[in-house]
Amino acid sequence: MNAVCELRGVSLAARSRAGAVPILHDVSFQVAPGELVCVLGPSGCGKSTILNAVSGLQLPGRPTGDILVGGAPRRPYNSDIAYMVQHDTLLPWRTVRQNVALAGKLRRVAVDPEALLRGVGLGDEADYYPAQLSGGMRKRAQLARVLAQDPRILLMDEPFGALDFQTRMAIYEVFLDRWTELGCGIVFVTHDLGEAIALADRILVMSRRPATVVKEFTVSLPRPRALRELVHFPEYRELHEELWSALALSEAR
Amino acid sequence: MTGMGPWGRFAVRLAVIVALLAVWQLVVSVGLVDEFYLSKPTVVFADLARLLAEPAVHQHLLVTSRELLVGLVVGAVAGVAAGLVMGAIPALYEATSPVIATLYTLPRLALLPLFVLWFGIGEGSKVALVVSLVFFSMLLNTYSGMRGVDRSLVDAVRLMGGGRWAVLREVTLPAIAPWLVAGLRISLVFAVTGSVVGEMMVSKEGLGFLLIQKSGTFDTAGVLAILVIVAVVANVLDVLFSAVEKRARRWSRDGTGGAAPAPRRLRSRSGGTRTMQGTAA
Repeated sequence: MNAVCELRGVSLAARSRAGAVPILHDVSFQVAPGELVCVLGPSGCGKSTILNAVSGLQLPGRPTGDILVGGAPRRPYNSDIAYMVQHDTLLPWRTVRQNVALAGKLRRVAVDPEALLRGVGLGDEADYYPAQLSGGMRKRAQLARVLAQDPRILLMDEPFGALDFQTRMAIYEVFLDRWTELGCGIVFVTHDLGEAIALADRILVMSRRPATVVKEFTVSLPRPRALRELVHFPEYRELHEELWSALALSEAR
Repeated sequence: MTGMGPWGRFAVRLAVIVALLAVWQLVVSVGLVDEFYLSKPTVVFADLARLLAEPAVHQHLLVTSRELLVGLVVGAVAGVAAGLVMGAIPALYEATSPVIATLYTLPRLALLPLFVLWFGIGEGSKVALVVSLVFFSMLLNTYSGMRGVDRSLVDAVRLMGGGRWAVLREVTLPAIAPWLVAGLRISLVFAVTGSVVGEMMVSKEGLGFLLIQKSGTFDTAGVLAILVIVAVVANVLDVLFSAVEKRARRWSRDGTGGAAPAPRRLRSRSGGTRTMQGTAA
């Protein structure tokens, strides 16, 4: 199988004055092209570290095991990868349009910032600076920016965690629509059960630190998903129950 | 002075200046202070008009302006470059910081005799003095600014495939721009001081040289007229810098400037009219 991203037995210990602190333990999973995999786990379990490891960002220690991106060992700042982190990293001194255009320029991809911004519902805000936008709008802008990079794999670290419910529901729909067009593989880190079920093809439940995959679920809810209707599917409720107990189990470990 | 248009603000400021000049004129005219020590505005401005008509004064003004500007540009460029290198290589700053701190606290005017020895009695020694003042203040401002650069923005640009130059251009320089402009405004004061006082100490031309000549003949009005020229030169440059500062801050929420639309209530796509924070109005 030609996974866009594969981890094989990845472990990582942070070196500190107190000695080695294990963060990841024997983490293995694959992401197929066009697949959305949610990594679900308690806060602070090391989920973000997995994404940092895949992206090639600096890690607190040297990982063991294999991390393959597009079949090749990971390397820093791989152009196949786009990474949407938890906090806001739009350049504050650039307008939204310039932020999106910059992503294309650095990636040497021809982009139409206007079209991308219209796609995320920011057609009228292209010339605003990030400080002039609401939190939800900034997330949309960041979404447009990762889309501009035309990645083969998209890493997302609790990207919509800070938003209120209504804003989040609206942005999910935009996100799923654009992803369907783009067709890249996604690793989506979250601690929100409902979010994981609503978005994912597969859900990996992580343990507390050192994080490892304790259980894997396949979400067979049909796509495109009408997010407001999901709660009415029996499967949604069953999965919710199962994830709850799996998470409780991982907490207890 | 809020709630006043730019013209209203200008009028108030002008009125303050006129009032101060009037008090000065009055104090001397009624004999509270001897004209010998303080002169008076009418005489000073008459002197100023006479001075400005003299080609020799133009030459002095040109010399001082040149020293000031060349020193400012050379010192700023070198200081910013050194600051950027040190910000990028902290070990280098660690190693050199005692030397930098020593040179920074040294009264640079005391170096003038050495500069005269090395660069002569002409403009070179004053330029060197200005550079020695500007360089360190720009270096320290640049370095301080770099320590505050948001690491996550650097990562963001790197993750999008940007190299060192892209990080410098897109993140570091815009992030430290307010520090650079603040440094430049302080440096301007240093540059004016360095060139004028340098000329007063050792020179054969320039406004400082002229000032010493006038004070040697107890020409108080002449001294004050030259100070007016110096003040105008410094003020013009300061206004220029503050315009640059406004532009550099245009993107921030409280920044003023015409190019960006002003912050206002926006309609969120998730429905309803909402405030900037996204809560239902």
